[in-house]
Amino acid sequence: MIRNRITEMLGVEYPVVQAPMGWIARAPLASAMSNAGGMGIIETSSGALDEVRGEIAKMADLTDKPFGVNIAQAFVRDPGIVDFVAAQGVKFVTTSAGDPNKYCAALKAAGMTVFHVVPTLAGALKAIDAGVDGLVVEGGEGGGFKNPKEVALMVLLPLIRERTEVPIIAAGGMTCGRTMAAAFALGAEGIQMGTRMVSAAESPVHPNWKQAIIDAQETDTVFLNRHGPGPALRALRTERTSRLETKPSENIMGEMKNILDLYFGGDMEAAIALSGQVAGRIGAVKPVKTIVDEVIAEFHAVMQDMASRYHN
Amino acid sequence: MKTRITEMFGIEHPIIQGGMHYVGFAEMAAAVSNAGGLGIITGLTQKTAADLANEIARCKDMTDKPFGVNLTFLPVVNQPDYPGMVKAIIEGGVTVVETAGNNPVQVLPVLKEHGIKVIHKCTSVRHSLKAQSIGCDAVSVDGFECGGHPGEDDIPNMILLPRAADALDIPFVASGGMADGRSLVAALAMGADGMNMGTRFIATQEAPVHANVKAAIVAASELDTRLVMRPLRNTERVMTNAAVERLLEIEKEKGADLQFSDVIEQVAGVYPRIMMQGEMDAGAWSCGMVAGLINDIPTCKELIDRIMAEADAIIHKRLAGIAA
Repeated sequence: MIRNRITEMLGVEYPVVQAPMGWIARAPLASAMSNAGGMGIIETSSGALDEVRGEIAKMADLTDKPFGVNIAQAFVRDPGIVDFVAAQGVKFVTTSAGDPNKYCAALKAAGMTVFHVVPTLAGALKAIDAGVDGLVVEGGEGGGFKNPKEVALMVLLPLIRERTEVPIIAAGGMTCGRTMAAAFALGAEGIQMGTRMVSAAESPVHPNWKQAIIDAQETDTVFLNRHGPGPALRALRTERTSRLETKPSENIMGEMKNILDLYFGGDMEAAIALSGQVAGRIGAVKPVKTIVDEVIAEFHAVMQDMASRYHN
Repeated sequence: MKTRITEMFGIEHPIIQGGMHYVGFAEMAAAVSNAGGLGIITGLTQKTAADLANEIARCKDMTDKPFGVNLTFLPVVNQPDYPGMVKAIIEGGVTVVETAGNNPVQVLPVLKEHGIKVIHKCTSVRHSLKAQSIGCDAVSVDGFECGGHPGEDDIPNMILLPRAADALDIPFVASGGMADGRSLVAALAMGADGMNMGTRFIATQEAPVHANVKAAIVAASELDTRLVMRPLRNTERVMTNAAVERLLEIEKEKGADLQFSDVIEQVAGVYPRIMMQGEMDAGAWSCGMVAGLINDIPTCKELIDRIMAEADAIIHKRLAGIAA
């Protein structure tokens, strides 16, 4: 049994969150995570808000456990999403990809718990000033859209921890009980898993992507577009992304034009498969419940092992 | 705290001070060893084998605890006197050698013949496995966070350490981003048997470097390091300064035509000026991302005692309290 500020604030059995990958973090995956005792999160970074509203509404049929919504500000054009989320009874929101001040006050006024996703200390301090309830701290090792000044979680997590009182959910490289225990040692009180969830059984992506994650070594991701224009990102190494590594694009988002052909059609060269270095540690497709149970069991085992072995 | 590393090296705490150019003198190694860790003398900072023998003797005057010597194997034309240094190590009764650069296959037989333990510094799982296969006793797994040469894979320790734990049979210590009890417990949780620290030890009272260097580390944020010489596939993580920013400009200008000679002014022969004279803009000097976590200049004993007390509290109080 785990009891800490995250379990109590979020109303979950386990302080484990499923990351809100665009197009992927929808009702099947999010409900699987919530039913497994963690916090499932519905995405908005696809920008397809009508579909997203439908997914949020579906959740009531799939789970009676809490679930959250991520508001990816750079992709969400409609501020009405705040009212919609509140009306659906959602209590937990993560905001990202923008100024933490933009939605925080409105969300909190609507009674929600708000965590802001940050990849830097400066971002964390700004979010604290905006009045967020907690932080999702993302290390450079994670997949997806990245801050170009990548700071590894090993340094970033304790750095932010010692400058703030709010609870922290660690993201980037999280996949097992060992990394969860390490994140907790560094000051986190919860973990968020992205790539592990993309590869999960209930993830809607094509089996080709899940297999690519399984086949990948930790050295099989690329960090693209560090100097812009547009966002930097981390993705699986494919022919396309290898080309982009040596010949950067002036329009990186244009490379995502046919994203659905990759995500659901399985054509690994159609676009860019956002994934973390942790792909090198993922060896099988597993149901979300199995993943969560294994993570928690290993977390307990590691802590008990350290307590019995290491004495001063 | 007993781990496979403390037992292997005969030290009280699972903390190693890795070899660092113009930092790893007898004073540094002795202070760390006296505080219960494993101090290491940097072999190649000494000009000759006789100088190394002298440095080893000086260290033995300052501590009766175990300490090691770092031998770094570089692909340079004028090779240092490795056989002479090995002889000095053996005759000096040194019990541990930390190797780095190319793997130490050439010196392993003679060192092992004399019962000396060898720990090889690696930046990838494949190098660690190679070191294991040739008979190294332990490895130091250096993640992307590290000061110095992180290699070209760019894998931080949250990914690299568990991979190393899964792949290796021999013990290993975590290196890169290590600063305090939190880092130690994180490393242990991920399967390491201890930690190696570089930048953190430079910012100690006993580190025999100019005060300007220590102050620079304390003042630095987590964003103040730069990766240089990437186009030469000889990446080094260094503290930013005017010389480093100039170096990066040259790299940008030259693009694919970059040669080592284009940046030699910023990197060659600068260490004595920086470490001894405190000329902080003289050139590029190795520094880890961990500088952002370093806010003071304690004695080695204060630092190590603090780390062990913090680790103990995390393992037995904070973490134990979560999983009731």
